[in-house]
Amino acid sequence: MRARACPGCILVAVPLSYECLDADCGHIIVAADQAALVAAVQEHMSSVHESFELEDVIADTATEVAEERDDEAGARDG
Amino acid sequence: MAEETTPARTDGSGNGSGSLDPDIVRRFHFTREMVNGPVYRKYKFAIDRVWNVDDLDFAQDAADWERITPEQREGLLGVTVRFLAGEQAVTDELVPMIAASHALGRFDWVTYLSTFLMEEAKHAEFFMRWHSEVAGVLEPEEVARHFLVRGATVDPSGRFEVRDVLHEALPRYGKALLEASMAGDSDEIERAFVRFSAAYNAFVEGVLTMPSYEIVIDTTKLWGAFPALREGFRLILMDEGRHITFGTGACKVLIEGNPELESVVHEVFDAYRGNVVGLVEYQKAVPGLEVQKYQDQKVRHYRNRCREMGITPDQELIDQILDPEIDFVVGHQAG
Repeated sequence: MRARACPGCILVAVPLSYECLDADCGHIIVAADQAALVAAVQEHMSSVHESFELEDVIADTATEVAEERDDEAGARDG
Repeated sequence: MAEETTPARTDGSGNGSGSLDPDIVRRFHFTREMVNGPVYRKYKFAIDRVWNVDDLDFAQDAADWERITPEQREGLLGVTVRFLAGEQAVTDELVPMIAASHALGRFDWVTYLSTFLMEEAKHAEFFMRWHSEVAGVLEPEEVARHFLVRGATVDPSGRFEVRDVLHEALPRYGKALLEASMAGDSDEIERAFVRFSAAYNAFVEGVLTMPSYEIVIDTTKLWGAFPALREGFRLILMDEGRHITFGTGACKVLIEGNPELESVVHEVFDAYRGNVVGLVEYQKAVPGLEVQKYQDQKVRHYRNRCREMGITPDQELIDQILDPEIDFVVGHQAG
């Protein structure tokens, strides 16, 4: 699981995304952590493309999803 | 008699911040950055996930072999024999990459490649065992007669030449990489490394072979047969994911350091364009499979490799892979 350190040394899981690059696809899969992302990508590959993806390929090219923090959202809205 | 020793510190101090003899420091390669890095993590995964061919049971596969038709046997052997040759070739050709990693001072790459080489040898062992215990062929003369000759593959349009990247490019690029490593010019080593890795990890392992894995797996499902072959492929693919992403990751590092090296990757794919734009003979050797699916997947694999290397895909190549007009006729067998 990819995690990010925050003040107080509590690790926070960071959602991850992966873009399928199959011909005419471009579907973006988002999951809570790496294990969930691998499972979700394999489900997409199997159901849409009758295929599979290599786990290392998913893990190495997954990107962190920028999350809006509550305090930032509050500052913007207020 | 005890051997006389001298401290590594050049100022003779036993502690503190005195300067160290650089020749002694160079003997140690591990760093905290390395052991927390992505390549060392692949090494650890490889160590944690070692599997053994001896644990596979080929009995059901041998029974399945007896019940399929002679045509099905030849179709399947057309693919599996290429894997048998291919895994031996990639085992034999990996040494230049290890030498280059050493020359570049990349101990993390050398460490990971030790598992890479062992895994390629094991993959070759798997195919040797499967062919011996299931199909009853092992000696070179026995398996070679089932090898579909690359030179016999013909592009009816005459636009593309189908060459043997595995048995032609890898030895040639490997020799150049080894010579550059021995000469010690870092720029030339990096250029030769990218050329070799683009051919080995990106082109052969990462694009060309991926449809073949799926073809064999789909065949075993279609026929409801050969569970050990399917399980072997699952285990091999677990290793191959690390191999491919190691190579493309190394290329990314080198290309980020010298963006001109991106063109080297495109030159390799261009030199062997004919191999990738159409399905070649052995990939069409099993009747009953929907072959267009494998062409679509090839686009994904090519785009994936470019994404991992941080380079821009060649759109013309993608268009050619998807062009239904580009096709090749089935070659003939050796012997």
